[in-house]
Amino acid sequence: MTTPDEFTEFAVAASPRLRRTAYLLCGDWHTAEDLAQATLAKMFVYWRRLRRRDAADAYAMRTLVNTYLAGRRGKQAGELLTGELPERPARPEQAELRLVVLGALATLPPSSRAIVVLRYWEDQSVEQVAALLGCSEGNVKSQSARALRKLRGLLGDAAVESCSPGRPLAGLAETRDA
Amino acid sequence: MDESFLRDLFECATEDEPPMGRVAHNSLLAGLRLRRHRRTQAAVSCAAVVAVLGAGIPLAVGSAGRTAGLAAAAQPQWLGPAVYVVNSHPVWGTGRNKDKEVPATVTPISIAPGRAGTPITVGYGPSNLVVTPNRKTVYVANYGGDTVTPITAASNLPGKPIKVGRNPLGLAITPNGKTVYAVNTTSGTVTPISTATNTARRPIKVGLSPDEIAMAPDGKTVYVANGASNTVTPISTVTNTASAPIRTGPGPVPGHVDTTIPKIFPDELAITPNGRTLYVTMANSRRVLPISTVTGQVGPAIEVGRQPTSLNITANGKTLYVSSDSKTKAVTPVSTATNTAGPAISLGSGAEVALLSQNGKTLYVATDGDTVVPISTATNTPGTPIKIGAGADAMALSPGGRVLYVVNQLSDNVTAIRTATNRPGAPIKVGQVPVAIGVAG
Repeated sequence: MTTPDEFTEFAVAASPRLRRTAYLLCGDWHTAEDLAQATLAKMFVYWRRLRRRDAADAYAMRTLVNTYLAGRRGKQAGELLTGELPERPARPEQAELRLVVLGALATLPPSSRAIVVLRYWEDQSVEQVAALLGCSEGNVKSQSARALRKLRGLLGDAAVESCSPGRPLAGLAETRDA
Repeated sequence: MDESFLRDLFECATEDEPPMGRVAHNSLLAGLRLRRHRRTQAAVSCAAVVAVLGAGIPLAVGSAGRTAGLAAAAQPQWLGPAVYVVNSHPVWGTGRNKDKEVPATVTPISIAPGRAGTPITVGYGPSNLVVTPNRKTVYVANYGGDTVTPITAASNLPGKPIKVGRNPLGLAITPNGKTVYAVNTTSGTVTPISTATNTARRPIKVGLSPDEIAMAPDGKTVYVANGASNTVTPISTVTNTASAPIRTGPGPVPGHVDTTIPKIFPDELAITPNGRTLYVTMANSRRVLPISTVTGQVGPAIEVGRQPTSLNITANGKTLYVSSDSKTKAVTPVSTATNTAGPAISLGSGAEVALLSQNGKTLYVATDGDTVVPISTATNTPGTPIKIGAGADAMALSPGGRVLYVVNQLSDNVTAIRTATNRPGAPIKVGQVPVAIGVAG
């Protein structure tokens, strides 16, 4: 039997991760917080069905991505990226990189964006992503290959200029398609 | 490796993370609102049920469990009353709808023998229902869809959804059946719905995060608990205007818009049959507050078991039973004459929801130990636990009081218990995550 206390514990532990993933999906922190909160509220309703903690994490990710995709349905890619996103001052080169990365992500269709974030941020396998999104593994592979190609074109040079030294920048150029 | 490189880029991009709001806390409370409501709603909807009619006669055979279709639903599947179970789970779509949440359903179950009929499609994320006193119409609040769906019990056909405010949850109906009140938890309003025309009237502003609602027996006043404001707002059903809120604890700082619910907040409501006292449980505490409906004065708090979950007042109005959760595992009887608590009745498991039998002799308490414990109200002693499904969430009695229905949220079914013998029948399969139940037809 799970209790609200256990849920609070789960929510406190899961919300930073959910929020960061949501941020990569939607591109602004306010919406990310809303998405994370909506996800957790939905989670709580079904909390008692989830007796296993690992199932809870997977369920949370699925709920988050579905909430994001449901919100994007029928909408244009209407994100506005501004220079004053964060509430606190950031290192200028970081702000620039963030805009570049989010700008590149924003060019992807919502489902491809979700696939990229799940695979390369959440470190999920093709099988996991396919199961989570309810599509075929082939679909995940082809979509992530296409998305990576696009990201490589957009991020290659900009990332070199902005990212802090020491990162394996050549990595992206040598990308093999998934 | 492209994976690790992309990951590094993503890491850089999310580094300027602003401080986090109370995401976890707020979502817990948003979810709690939904959960909490399931517990009390059975008592609310059953209060309107009168002792008439015996068993219904099942008609169609074989239609149960098939996919919903208008043609099938247009034919009543049996004569007589039915139990309506709200299946809250937003069904994941398939094919073209695979990333969408599709509208959920309500499952009708014939009274005897208990058999599930064709599911009735309602709106998104249904959370609650209320039945008109004549038992002809079921109103379902669609929490996710911001609507209320009327269902005609004679045909099991849903009507056009009625637009209300954001995230409706609490429902109440006047004893004359003319007005349904829907509590819009996010909008902080209550929408009156005229049952004659099924149209929404102008919403009435109440406090922040309202949730539970209770109708006075004379039908002239309806009370709404506002979680974040820490108040209870009385609404006149004659004029549909709110009176001054009654304070149940410290509220948010004046002038500061804060929808965060305080740790201890007004939760569930019950009114004595004479209408003079309104009892309010305070969530996350051991307290129940008595409020005089005449003066609006809050009396001294009554100490009960930890985390009170459910309120039941006997028909003679003399005893209030307060159920407590898995930490206390008890029911506390409270004398309404003196507002003092009697010795706690130990259950062995945490109470989820309780309901008095029609003759008032037994208080049925569904527990998190997957049992229903019958308590004799004459002696305040618990009887032999009755085995049910997992995750009991809501209860209702058949119109004659002979069958008790328990909604098992975790096992997606309903257990019918004969009240004469306290024997459970075979579980009746319903939709996913059933949360609310009511009797109509």
